[in-house]
Amino acid sequence: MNIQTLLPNLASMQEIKPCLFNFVVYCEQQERFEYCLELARSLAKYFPFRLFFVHHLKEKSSNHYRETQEGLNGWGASFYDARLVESSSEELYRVPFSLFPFLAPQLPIMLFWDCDPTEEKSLLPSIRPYAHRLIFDSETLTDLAAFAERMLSHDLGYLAREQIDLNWARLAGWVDLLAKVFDTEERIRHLRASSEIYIVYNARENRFFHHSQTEALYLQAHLAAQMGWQYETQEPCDKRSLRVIYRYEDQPVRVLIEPREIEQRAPGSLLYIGVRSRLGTEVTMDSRELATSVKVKSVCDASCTLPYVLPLRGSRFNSRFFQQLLYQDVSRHYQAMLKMLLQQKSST
Amino acid sequence: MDASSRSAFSAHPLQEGVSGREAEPCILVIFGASGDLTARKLVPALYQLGAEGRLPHHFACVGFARRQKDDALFREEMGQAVEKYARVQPVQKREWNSFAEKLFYHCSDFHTDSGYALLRERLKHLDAQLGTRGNRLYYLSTQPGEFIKIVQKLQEHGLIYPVVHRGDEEKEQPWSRVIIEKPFGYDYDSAVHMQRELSQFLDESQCYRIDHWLGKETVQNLLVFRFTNSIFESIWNRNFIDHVQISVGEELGVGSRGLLWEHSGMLRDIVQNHVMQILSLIAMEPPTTLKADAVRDEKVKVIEAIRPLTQDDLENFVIRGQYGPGFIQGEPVLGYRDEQNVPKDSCIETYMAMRLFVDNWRWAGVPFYIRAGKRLLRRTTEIAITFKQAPGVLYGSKTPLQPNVLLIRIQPNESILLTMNCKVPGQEQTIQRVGMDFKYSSYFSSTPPEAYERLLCDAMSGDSTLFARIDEVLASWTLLTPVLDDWKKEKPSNFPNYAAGLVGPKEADVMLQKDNRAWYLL
Repeated sequence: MNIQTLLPNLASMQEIKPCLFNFVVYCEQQERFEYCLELARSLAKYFPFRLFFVHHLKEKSSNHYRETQEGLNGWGASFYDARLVESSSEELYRVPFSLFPFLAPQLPIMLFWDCDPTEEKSLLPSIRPYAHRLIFDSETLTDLAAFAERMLSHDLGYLAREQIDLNWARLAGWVDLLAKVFDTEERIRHLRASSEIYIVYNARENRFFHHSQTEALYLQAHLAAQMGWQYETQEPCDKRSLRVIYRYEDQPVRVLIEPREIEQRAPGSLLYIGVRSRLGTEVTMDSRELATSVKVKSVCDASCTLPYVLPLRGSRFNSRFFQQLLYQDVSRHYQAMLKMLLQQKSST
Repeated sequence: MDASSRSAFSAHPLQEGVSGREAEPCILVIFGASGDLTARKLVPALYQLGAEGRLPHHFACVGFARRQKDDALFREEMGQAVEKYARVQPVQKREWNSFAEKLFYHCSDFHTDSGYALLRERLKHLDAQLGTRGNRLYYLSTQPGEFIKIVQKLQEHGLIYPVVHRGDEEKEQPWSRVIIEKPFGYDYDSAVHMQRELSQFLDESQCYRIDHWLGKETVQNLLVFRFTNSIFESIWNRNFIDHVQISVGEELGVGSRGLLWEHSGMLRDIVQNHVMQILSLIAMEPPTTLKADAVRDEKVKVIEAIRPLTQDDLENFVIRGQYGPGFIQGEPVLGYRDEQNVPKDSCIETYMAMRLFVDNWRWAGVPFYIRAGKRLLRRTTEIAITFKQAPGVLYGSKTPLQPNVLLIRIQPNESILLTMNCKVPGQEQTIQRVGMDFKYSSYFSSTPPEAYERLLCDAMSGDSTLFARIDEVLASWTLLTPVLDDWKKEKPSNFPNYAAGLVGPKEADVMLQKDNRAWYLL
């Protein structure tokens, strides 16, 4: 007799479920629904949480409100509690009545708002005061400069106690990498005195991503803000490229943002950054071979160094990325970057 | 590479705050690189740091050992080791290839001047090639008997730099540091001797005495747990705590390392270093800051406050044991004296238990019971803090109430459990003890960093918080050397005195029974 058969299946018995936080997701663009679900699914591999997913069906004209408690098999052993609400616009007012009883009390509420958080919606004001952290994706915006203006017109903390832009989180690997490559006063001085910067991004779009230029725009604005460059002008160029011109010490700094389409790489991801300095150095950072690392080459008038490879941290839905998303401090560099973007008033 | 490169400027415009410790460019030289530690722990840790972007890209690792091999063979061997022991699998080929380019091998005897002269030239060449700025980190993964000679040779050949304690000027100079593996000495006199010898060549600030337990996430969590949860800190004293048990159990025996164990024993291998570190973290006062010396000052105060052991203590409250044959996980296992290279009349302890008192305001009268042993019923390291029993005036007239216990499990199954008493639903007033627990694995499913990853990164960034200072080491030897002296006087007549696979010698149970207490089952 197999003793195991005498014992009840412990897995089916009730047990205390670990839960670190509540994850509330709001999604209104139909094509983004699966992306948001995938993000939650990936997050569940690293942290246990209680999920409340609101899918706003804007195209539904009739009163539609449906709640389901999903089993979510395959999301990982730690995942137990999830509620999915589909609602038409007319019924959206009911969401807080479903949401608040469902939340695990005393645990942080992470609110993933998959549209412009600066535009007042019927639902956001009721949830936002309770959100510990607001995560949004500037991919969903149509006008970056207008968004920057709205964000900057308030204190940084007005949206929630903490906030993070998913696009900024995706860029964290490149931001870290630049800090590593330009890691001395001398190298920063050369970077500051750049004459040309060349940024190549993956212009491939898919059903989730249509604004593939955003990360590239963010990165050049971040560099400009930190290096103290003065914005002058921008102009479209051939083949959907964009040239942004700054000025530093009366010298132009030309940033060329160029699209490429690479099937195997995530839309909007940065592929290559080249920096040429007036002081005689050229540094290239090339990620075209592999998404998770960058080959760095540095040449100056007097010498050149052997190329080396650096990992690109947080470039995927991995532990590093989610640590950034959930625990990164509110970013002053992000605010500085938005201020720079604001000066570049044009639609993406 | 530009010779003026120094990353000493305080506000890097592209870095926002501190996103984790940033290790400085350097060359790590591992003495004894052919050994087990390098393959199983050090190189896999370095690889993982590299894969996560936490290794400075101006970095090289040079293995220094006697065995004949070249860079290519060393890289191949380390590649196999990383395949087997890397924390995050599978190993990414591109990341490994990038890391392997930073691995080099230097074949030499530890005592030969020409070996060090050649090493110096090689390191200079690597500085020029890789931009490591002259910074040196030496890891002594050798027998302790080699430490002094190696450090002397390093100093003689200009590979260890004198320390300049002059503020900003210090930051501009290349640095050199030495990581020394435990044990630091075999007793008080040998530790003092070693320190005296080393201090001819090294400043204390260059000395990183590694205790890898301090790099464990759960050990680091002890301070976070204590000093961020006000409910615990306010009851963390003699008014509320009855006693503390610190238990370290291993299932494994000595295996083929009998010869090494004969020169060591449980007191030297585990109690003098790992256990004393845990005790000091449990008992210390909150430091004024989290800077290295502030934390270590408080730890030293604890050890210095431990009541010296009297003869009565040595006879009744210090227990030693040696395992005999038994069963582990259903399989028969040999007794210690039947293991390889172990004499049949060995007197070395594979188990020890003792009672200590920390004589200060916080802990006066609270016994700390320590036990550590090989071939016990399971592998575990845990701290059980038993609170004073509630008065049984209202409840507990029929059955004594169970005290609350805070159980902190360091490894494995890392967790924190608090037991409490609850009423069993029903007509009777039946009280049942229940547990409220937090398991790391349930909440954090990504694998935490290995201890060596944290410690190597800290050594490269100049943070010595998690390394033992000499006064800590000497204070614990001051306490424990009398035990060794007492043991030398008389051979144990009852060895082996516990069966492998159970809880240890009966004498350890008797020790607690004298105080009307009992060990918790491991």
